[in-house]
Amino acid sequence: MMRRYSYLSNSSRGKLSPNHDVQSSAAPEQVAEFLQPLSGSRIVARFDGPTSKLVEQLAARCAAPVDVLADSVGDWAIDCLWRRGHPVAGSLQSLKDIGLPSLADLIEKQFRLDDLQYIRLFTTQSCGFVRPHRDWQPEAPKFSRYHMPVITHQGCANSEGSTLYRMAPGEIWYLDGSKPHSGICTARSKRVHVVLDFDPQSNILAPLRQPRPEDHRQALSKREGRLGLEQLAAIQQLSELITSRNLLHVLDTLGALHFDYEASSDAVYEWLDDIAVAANDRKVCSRAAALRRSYLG
Amino acid sequence: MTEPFGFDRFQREKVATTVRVPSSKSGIEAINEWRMFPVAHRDTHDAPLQLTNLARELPFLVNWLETALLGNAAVAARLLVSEIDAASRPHVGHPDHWRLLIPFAEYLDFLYLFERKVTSLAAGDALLLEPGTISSSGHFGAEQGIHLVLDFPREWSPNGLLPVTELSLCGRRPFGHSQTQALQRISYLASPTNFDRIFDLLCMLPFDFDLDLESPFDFASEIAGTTQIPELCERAHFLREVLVGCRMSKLVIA
Repeated sequence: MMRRYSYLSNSSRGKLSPNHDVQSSAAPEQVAEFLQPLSGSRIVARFDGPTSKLVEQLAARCAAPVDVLADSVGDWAIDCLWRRGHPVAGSLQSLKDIGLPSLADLIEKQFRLDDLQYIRLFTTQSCGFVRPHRDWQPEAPKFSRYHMPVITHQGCANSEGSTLYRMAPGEIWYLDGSKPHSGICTARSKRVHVVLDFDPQSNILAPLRQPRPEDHRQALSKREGRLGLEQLAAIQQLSELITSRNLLHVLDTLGALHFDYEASSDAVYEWLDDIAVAANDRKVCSRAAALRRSYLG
Repeated sequence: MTEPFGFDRFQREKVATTVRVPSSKSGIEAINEWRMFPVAHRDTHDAPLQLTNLARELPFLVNWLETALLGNAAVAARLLVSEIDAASRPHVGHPDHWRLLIPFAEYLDFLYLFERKVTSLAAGDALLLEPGTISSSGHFGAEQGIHLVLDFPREWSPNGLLPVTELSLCGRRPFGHSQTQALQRISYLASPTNFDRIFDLLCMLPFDFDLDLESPFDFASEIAGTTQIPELCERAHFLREVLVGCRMSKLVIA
């Protein structure tokens, strides 16, 4: 009998084993699962713009090279603009001093700065993606994190759990770093998010001056559908090619793949585990397990 | 030699702390943390050295480039800094330049691929590539790797270098039927989102399997052709053209 495989979060996700007839279409509730609003990240406010001045100032800032983000592929980079304990603590004068007055004004207008820890730019100049990861475990949050997408386009997307979504300019997103998530820029075009980290907040709206939580269903993106038999067999057969030298590149191939098909961000590590087991190579298995621990905890 | 060019441990450490990512350049040949730091170049072999800002922080390196027989003959000098899992996609050197790769220390987990051979370099070894040679390198150890990369004009003669007749060649597995099948199936996964990542994986295969350096381009073209996605066919063609020129056979464009 022809079979198909599923990595849906409530099924035998991550196991390369058949669990559905290939001819049967996905049950409506399973489709609905992928259209559910995000359980963690959400739109919490909006800002006017971004204004052309803000875009200009950030684009100029991003023209200078910055540190490349570890755990990313391509030129995904972080530029730390401000951190608590900065010489002008509590004020964003230092942002004005580095040519970002519009950003300083915007942040002061939108946020209460009392618990602010960091202001950073997450940028990519062209294609790149961040390997699926958790920033912290749910029981030990490091920050309450907010994204303000300023320069973005249709080639940019984020994944969280089983969901793919796009952050649009003018939205302020709370990003739940405790959930497995990832980001990608598929076009050779710039992407700039302003990211603010606050001390962990029991009320995620507390740092916002004008909180306006929204239904963000319109931000959700559709993908190709679920992985079919051919795709799952192709993933399984990567066990013939995987070695300890190319394992990270297998992971990156799978990481980029989960943006195309309905699969959860953390499923890529389960695929990798399955490939490693099938390869029957102890070194590969142990490195696959180490990567999963490193990225997901 | 354990102290390349006569540089001591402190000078090597100075280089390691001076090279910082923001001043580097990552080319299309780079996979992961594989970064080139221009140090100096001459417009012609008898012209004075033109130094970068980085070079000004490394006077002992500049002194070597200006006075040593080898350094003095180079028309370009760069530092290649790599981390674990970084590699270069197969690429062709400058058609009119010899290229010499000199490791700053003995990196046993650093592999060099050329002419269907995979080798590591013993202490004191350097790798000389003839003009236009296709090569690839991969960094598989935890320690940061630093190489000095020198380019010499075609008329330069490598007389001062002693050829190593017994290379430390690494064994590779045969690329059999099951591997070929696995490769063919990759076309079921290929899309514009992941094609460059697939290409990186293809570029890593010759480190482990008995494949030549043209194989990643042939495989990429075949995978792209099978998908019949024009964007992928164009990308495969572009990667081949930019990295090695279009002089190889088996170009498959749907």
